[in-house]
Amino acid sequence: MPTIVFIRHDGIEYRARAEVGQSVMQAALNASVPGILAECGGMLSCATCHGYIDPAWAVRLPAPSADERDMLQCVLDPRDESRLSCQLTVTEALDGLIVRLPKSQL
Amino acid sequence: MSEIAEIPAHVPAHLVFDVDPYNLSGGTEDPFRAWSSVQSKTPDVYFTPHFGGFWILNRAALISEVVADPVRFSSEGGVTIASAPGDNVPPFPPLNIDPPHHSFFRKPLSIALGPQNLQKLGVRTREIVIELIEGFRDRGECEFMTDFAQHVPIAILMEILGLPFADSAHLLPFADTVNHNSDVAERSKAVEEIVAYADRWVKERRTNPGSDLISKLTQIVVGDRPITHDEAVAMVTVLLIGGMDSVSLTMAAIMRFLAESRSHRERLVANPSLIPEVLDELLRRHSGAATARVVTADMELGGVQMKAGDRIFLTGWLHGMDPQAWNNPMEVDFSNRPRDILTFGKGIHKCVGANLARLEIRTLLEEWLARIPDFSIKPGDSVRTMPGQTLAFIYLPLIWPAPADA
Repeated sequence: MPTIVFIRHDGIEYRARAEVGQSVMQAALNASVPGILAECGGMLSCATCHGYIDPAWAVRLPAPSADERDMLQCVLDPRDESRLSCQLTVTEALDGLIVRLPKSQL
Repeated sequence: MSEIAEIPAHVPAHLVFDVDPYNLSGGTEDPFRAWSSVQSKTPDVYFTPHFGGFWILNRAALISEVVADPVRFSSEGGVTIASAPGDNVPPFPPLNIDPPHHSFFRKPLSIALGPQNLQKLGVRTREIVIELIEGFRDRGECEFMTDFAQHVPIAILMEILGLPFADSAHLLPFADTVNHNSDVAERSKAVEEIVAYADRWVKERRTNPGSDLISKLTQIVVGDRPITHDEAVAMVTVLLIGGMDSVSLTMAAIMRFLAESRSHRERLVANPSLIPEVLDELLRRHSGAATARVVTADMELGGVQMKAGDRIFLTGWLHGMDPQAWNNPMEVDFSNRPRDILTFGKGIHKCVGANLARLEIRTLLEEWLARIPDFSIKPGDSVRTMPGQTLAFIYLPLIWPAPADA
């Protein structure tokens, strides 16, 4: 079972056990990681599952779709490393993935 | 009056109950308790012959399952239970549009109501809320709907749509009629007036486009063809009608609750940082909006046989008050942190304004309780509500100790 590491804005780490096939967003919700809102439940409609993907990992992820890029326009504090975690699917190869959380989703 | 249907052949007699959402016993005093009482006396899934006949679901799990499944349960047959007989159901994108076209209409709204814009809207919301409260604070009383609740959502909506704030005075009476008038002809006329207003502005923004939302709506591409004029007008119309009353009635329900519960009120006054934490618990208990779906193929739901074309009423309030989903659902417990409330729906049609609604309601509570911590329902007067497709509030008289001679 892969582990996803969420690092909060204040540096506190949460290690979430994730299931292959679920979204990184769902792994965060299941592990009650604070800082992911996911208001729309993964429909690419709310931009509140926003996270920053560590550059070392970003190259191993599929590029964002046009729809994800559109929604990334409206996240708070957008950066080059911004992704919407509902669009990232957990695989064994992502064991240890580091996701930094923004100060706030809203 | 509702059209009473003949019971369809596939609906067993023991599942038929005479429940009219527009005429509930006790519904004009406290529609939540009125519905909770009906919920306790009816099966998980039952049929009512009103408004052409439709199913009502009492179980949170079933409501949640249906509302989020656009394949088995379509929105294109309309998302309300009360159409006048023979009513056409025109498309009001994205509300009653199914995949694959739904997302083309939905996306610009999601962006317009996304986190970045919400920050700006939050500032404007707080300004309006403070101005309104300061306007009646010294009076020691107000009628919450006409003095406050009606004014906030429309002001923010005009901001989102890039429309002149002064026009809200023109639109408010029509929106009020659409949402609260029981006369079908009056409602139709009011809808036409709002459509006419939307039509003028869609034409204006097409001719002189800017960076505002209406301009963006006129530029939507639906699959492989541009959005039609009527679709753009319908989108503006549904925002103007649908985006207003649901916030007002939710604010009213929560304020009524706090007016009647000193202990809950005092906890929030003592610790305002609790407000955002308990907001969803307040919303769970006071979900006044509902939707509907049409079954797309014969199927079984909750042990009951349904046929293609059957309509199902899906209410936030029955979800939030279901004793099989929540402990003591009629009580507001500030230690609850409910996940998966259905106040805003679920799935692709989940309310695009959910975070805006939360923002407006939270701002109301923060600014009101800081200025008017102690308030109650005016003695000798009564709250009036109007249940139907929603649990609307008509009249909420509040009083509080006025400051000594200013």
